[in-house]
Amino acid sequence: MAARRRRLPAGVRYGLRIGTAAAVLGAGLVVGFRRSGPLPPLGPFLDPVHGVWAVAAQAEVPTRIAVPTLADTVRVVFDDRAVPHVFARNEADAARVLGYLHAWFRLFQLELQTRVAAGRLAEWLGPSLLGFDRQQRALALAWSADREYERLAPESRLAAVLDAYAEGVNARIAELGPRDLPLEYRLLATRPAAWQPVHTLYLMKRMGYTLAYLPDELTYERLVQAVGPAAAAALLPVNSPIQQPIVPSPRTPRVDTLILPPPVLPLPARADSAVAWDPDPDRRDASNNWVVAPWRTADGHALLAGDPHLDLSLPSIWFEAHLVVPDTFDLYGVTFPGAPLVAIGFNRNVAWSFTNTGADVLDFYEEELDDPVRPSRYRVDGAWRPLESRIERYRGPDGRVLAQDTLYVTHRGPLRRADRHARSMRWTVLDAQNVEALREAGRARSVVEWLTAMEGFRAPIQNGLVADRGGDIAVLAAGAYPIRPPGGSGLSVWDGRTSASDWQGTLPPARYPYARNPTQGFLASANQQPLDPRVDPAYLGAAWPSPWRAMRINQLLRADSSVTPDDMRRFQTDPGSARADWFVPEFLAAVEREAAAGHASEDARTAARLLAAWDRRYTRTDERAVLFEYAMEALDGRTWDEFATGPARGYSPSSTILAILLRQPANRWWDDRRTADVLETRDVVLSESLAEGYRRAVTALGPPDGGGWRWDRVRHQNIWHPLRFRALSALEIPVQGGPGLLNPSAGSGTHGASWRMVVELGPDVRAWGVYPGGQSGNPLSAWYTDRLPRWVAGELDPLPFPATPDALPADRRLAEVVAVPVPRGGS
Amino acid sequence: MRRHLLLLVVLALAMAVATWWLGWWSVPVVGAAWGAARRGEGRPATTAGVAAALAWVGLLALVANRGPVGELSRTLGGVMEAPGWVPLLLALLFPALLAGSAAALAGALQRRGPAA
Repeated sequence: MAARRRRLPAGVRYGLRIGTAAAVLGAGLVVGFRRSGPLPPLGPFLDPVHGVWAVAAQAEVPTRIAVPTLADTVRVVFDDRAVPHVFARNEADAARVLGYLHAWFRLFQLELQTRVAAGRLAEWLGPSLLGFDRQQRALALAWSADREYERLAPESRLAAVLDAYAEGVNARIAELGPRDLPLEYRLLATRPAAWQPVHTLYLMKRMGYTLAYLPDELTYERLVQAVGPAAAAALLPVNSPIQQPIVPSPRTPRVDTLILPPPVLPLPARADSAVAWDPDPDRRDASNNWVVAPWRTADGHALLAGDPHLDLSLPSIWFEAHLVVPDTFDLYGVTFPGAPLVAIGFNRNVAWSFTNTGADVLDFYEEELDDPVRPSRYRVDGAWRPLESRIERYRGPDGRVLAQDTLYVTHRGPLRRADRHARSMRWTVLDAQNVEALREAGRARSVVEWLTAMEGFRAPIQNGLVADRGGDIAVLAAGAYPIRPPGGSGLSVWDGRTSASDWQGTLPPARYPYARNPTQGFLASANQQPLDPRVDPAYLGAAWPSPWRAMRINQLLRADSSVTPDDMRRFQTDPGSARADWFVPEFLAAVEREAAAGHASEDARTAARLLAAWDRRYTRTDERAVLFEYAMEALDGRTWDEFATGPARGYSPSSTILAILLRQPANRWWDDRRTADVLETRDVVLSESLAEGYRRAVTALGPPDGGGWRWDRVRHQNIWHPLRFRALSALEIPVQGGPGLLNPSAGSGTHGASWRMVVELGPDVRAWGVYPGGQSGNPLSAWYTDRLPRWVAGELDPLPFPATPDALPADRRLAEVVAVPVPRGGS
Repeated sequence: MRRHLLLLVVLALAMAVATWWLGWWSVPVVGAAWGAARRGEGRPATTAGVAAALAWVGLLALVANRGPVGELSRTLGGVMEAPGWVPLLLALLFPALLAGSAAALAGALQRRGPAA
């Protein structure tokens, strides 16, 4: 018999009903109005009219441009790659419209970059970013930008342009309705802040950090603790032992003698206090550029190629634009969203591109403070000087103060205290960078004018390659090179108690690395040491990146005396490797010698057979590059096992040092410290490394010819959205590239060619270019990743360069907008 | 039945218009008004919930007419590390729960106690 269901009393049922309804409604309203963990308030987020769905209906390009402060009409024509061609009648209006367009396409990126430099990410992303914010503010980037802006004469051209640009950005922010807000602001449940003119300088300081924050003295200090001063100096040499300088020098490439003194053992017992090393040492920002004189090109016109390598992101760090102001400038190229300038590009007469010089522009000073906890003064030459201080408050998304620091500053720069040390930092990036020089260079009508303009540039030091329609080519590594006191080293920490340690000025432009129209008919830079020390021994820096890319591009250019624009394009993703050309024969010879002595393992001999058949080209279908790379990783680990623990834990010297060590077969560095009674030699380590690489490849990828060793299954580029959302990123992209190649791809694959450009300087300038991503920052836009396939394939888009708005071919015209002055409050 | 459907459509339209002009928070307000007005008749909470979902479906259809709502849902799903249909489902469940619970609560309170 079924049990009779007991009905609850009416009062209880009523209570349950009302309680359940109230609970559901209350919960709905709470998640509707307030953040819930990582989720934004769901009400405004899910609202089908004003919420996130409106992003799907946002226009691809502006249909109107309304900037209240425009002085005159501006015509903006968008081509079929969503590149704006801005035809203004004055410079300020061009800056206003560029600011508006940057904000229209990339508003979130614009603000994010500024917040990164200012150390204000926790305000958006919460306390997990507090550590990052503290690091950024300790660098004093915002402090120095604020100071630089305050010192800018209000009537100066730069001040006027920064103001005009800010007006454009703010015009876009002001007109943003609920439906116009970019996706990221909705995800973070925030709204854009007003753009200040100084924010452009924040961005430039942040670029300075990216390119010129190279504290090699800290690396050197740890290496000294780990292996002794002699070995440390050899591992971080002032001069590259393989010379292929930017400024052409006779009898290069050249290998100079560098003996690596043995490490001082046993290692000091300070392993636990060591700071973890950058796990991706090959990531160091890099770039290529080269120019070819008319007499070496097929059409008799100068050719220029440039591809700056940076951390890749979606949206890209670059935004393409063409800016025209009659009788003032007519230039095309890539701009930083956040800055009113074309950084790399061309005009009707001149084309230019940059690589990072990597000069030593930073020094640390050990300071004596009056109070180690709450200092107010520091001593110099026996006298106390007051410390400048600034309170830094860190806030969370709710506005609550998360933490507070005091930033102290000496006459040298910001002071940092750690481990009983108080060190101030002198760094050229914190001085005036003079971005106006870049803007001035964009107006140049010849190589000579461009070089003259760039002499005023200060930081970060850049290898500027330039060519003009007259056939001139040149390179100038422009920027402020510190002059240090005689006898001092840029690699050591200076005594801050004496003013004799201070910099004595900067090198005059006449001393900058420079070459013009060399007899070889081309110039190339790839971050290698700019000057041959036998020609000019001046100290410009140390620990230069390995010159493999420079060697390869020089090899390619030397071999081709009839270069075409398409050759230039092909070179940018050339699969050849000077590094593999150097190391592969060494592996093979070592295995052969070991085999002859009866020591080579079966795995080593098999691996050597496979490697011997390799053409050393990192094409996507290649099936041997992976063996070489795994063997190189094993070689690195076995050779530099001294850094498995200790103060320099995780450090890996550059592959140039390893290449030189190969010439010293019995050097103590080859010894494997795990085998106490055996002293390994070079051949043993090479042979065993190759065998280890082979075993790793077989274990991870299967047999050599099973298809698993294909390079495109192993090496990928990963282009992340700044918020690290996979859905907004482009990940695991196979590329024709690899470590030390002209198209570099190493480590986590987040670094690579951020922009590729080829320019032919004939009677009419012709240009081609591509960057990984697209013009739009909206992930729903057709122009978010539209260029990615061509970037992966190493292809370039022809860049239309119309002289007038109507000169853009109809088949390449997407839209036209006429921006007109709009009175405030008007529409 | 036909009258019931007609009321549902009218209510959905009212919610759509309210969302358009006032914002998402108007959905529980309209739902509560509906629950209070229709207390004791049929299932006002269910009707309000269904009408709210229909209203937002209609509004999303309007947006979809001008842009790729499905693709956006997939992207948002990716951001949330969830299937691509989850954001769309949320966009229907959220107003339905708000309107339904508001209608139920308002209806119950209108009765002024268990004996009503």
